[in-house]
Amino acid sequence: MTASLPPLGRPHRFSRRTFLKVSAAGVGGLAAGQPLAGSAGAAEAGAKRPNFMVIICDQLNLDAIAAHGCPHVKTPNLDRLIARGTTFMESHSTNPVCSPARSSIFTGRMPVETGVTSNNLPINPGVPNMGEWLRRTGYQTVYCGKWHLPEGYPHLVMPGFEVMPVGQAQGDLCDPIVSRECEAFLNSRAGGEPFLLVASFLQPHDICYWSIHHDRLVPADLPFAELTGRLPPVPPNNQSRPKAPAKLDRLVFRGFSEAQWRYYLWCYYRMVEILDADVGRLLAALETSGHADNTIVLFTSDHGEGGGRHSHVQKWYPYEESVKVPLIVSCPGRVAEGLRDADHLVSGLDLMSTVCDYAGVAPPPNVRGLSLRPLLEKRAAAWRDYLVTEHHQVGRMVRTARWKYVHYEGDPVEQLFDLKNDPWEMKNLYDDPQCADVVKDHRRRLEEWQSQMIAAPAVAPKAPGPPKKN
Amino acid sequence: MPEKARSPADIFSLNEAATLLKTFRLPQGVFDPKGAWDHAYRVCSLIGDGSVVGSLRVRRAPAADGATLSVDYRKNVTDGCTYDVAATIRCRDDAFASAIGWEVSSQARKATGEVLESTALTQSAALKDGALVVTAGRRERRTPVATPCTTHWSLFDAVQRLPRGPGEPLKFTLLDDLDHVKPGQSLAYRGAFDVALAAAAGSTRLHAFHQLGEGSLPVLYWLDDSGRLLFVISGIHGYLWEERRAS
Repeated sequence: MTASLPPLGRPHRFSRRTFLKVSAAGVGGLAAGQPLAGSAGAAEAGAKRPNFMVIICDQLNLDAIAAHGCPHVKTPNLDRLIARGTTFMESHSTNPVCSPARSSIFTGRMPVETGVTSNNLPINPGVPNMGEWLRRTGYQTVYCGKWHLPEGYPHLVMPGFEVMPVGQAQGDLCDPIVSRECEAFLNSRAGGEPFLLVASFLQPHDICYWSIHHDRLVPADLPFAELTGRLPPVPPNNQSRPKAPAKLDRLVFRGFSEAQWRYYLWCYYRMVEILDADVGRLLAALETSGHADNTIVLFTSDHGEGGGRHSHVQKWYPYEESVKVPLIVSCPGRVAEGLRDADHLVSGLDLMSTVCDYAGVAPPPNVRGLSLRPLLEKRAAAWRDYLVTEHHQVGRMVRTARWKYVHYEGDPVEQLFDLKNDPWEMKNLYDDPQCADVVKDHRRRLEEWQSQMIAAPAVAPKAPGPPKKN
Repeated sequence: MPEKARSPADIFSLNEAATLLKTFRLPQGVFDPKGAWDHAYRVCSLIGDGSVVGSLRVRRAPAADGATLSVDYRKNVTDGCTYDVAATIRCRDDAFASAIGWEVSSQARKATGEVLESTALTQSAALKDGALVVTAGRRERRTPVATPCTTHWSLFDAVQRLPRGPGEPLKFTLLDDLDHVKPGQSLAYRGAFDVALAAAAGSTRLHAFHQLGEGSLPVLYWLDDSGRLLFVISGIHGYLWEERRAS
């Protein structure tokens, strides 16, 4: 079967046809600062507006957190955040690569619209970022940590944010400085206008170098005898290679023995614990500084990590290990506590709409995300029944409650996984005659989605300076 | 006993820093790890061939109940800015240089030297009644801690005096970056290695310890025969000893 879909990323006029059962609240042309008439946010605008602490990390699997069921890692601080808030188990990166995913988190737009379809690209200047949007409404907006849009760390002057500087180049691990500077910010702040503080950590991204430098960092012989018998097992789909578009097959990592995969995973979980400690410093600072009661914490990752599933390392691809990311929202008294939401498909797109909703302002025009607020407050809400992610510029994934469909433009091989019965994505059903209608339905959804995209003008990638990183 | 000098490129963890070590110069002079000393390190990112991203200076002054470590850490930042940490750590006279307490101040500075006030943080801490109590102004944060416990910088000191040879690993709680409490650490002697450091004639006998534990990638400490700590390498991050310039 060969799909015949419209080319990806071409400019389109915005269509009122929508992928939603209902329109996203606030999609439209309202100006920043305008209360969101008729929504819960209208009341927010008149009350004390909340602060936001957006915590972003890099390359964290949804299931690499103890509270999400991982027995190989200790994450007491993320566990505490989850216990005090709502965690989404069907949360997706818009494009599991650093820069594209981050562009969506900060704009509510798809990467094809922000223009950040690969690493080291800037956000299309016509698309406002979260800082620009909230600053116009009276928020103090502060950024600390990894940016990667396009520079790894932001300059002192950047659109929409004051910058607390921490690093100088991509791959430069500064997470303890990020948490320390954010603690200083929280301690020194004594009221006034509400704030949006972004704390952007690099870990557990260092794992990228355990594949890039695998000959040095992951030797054939286990480098620590004490770890014998203590390493996590390889995932059950480690050797699974379902039929895939050519671009996905090229990403298979063939260099490791089972023992090396296990040591690689052990190292990854230590990086997650390093991250957890810095998250803990932020949460403690929030409490001791007195801001906890009026600060909504949103935690997410730009993308996941292969972790040996399908013999993959790193990210990019539409498999669960790459595209699923944690999304945790916490603010006791405002947000449901101890709620694990496995029913709603959510996206990195949704942070912008959620922040705007709680801030009591309309989101920017054409945002594709939905406010999570009804879900966070356990209110009934119509919700999207599918979402789309982007990959390698020409690849798209359509996710519905049960199915995952993958299409790469120009590639005759598609993918269809039944996630209910095949959660490890080991059996590609795209050419199973019994699934023909499912494939057809997902193609239709993809076509519908693509027709809404307003593609950004093409921008040449900025040449990254050394050291190079992904 | 090691038999033949090996290149850093062939030794786990030194291999990450092999390119930077090509120009490494061995320190000269007598060293007493129990006395007063003053070490300087390049803070390195070991991605690719490696690059220097900051500096670290650690000074030890013996005291009646142990020692005081003075730490000055500088990280290079975008636009000519720096991030500076100055810490004074009071340590016990034991195998871990266990922490008694510390004071720390940190801040980012613009290229002009101007402090970015929102980043400035001053804290003190003490270990008492089974807890780490961190104080910043009128704010106090208390975290339960299992002893013995020591800071990551105190290990730069302690490891220089540890016995070398087979034996049970030392077990402790790490105060990583001073206040990240990470229990379940172990520190073990890894062995002696005759290493061919390019800038040194012949081979150099190095001793290694490794640290494993919760919330930390393996850390390898490399010392010369006198006990002087030369390199600390953890994954793609490293501290490499350097001759301190006169200030």
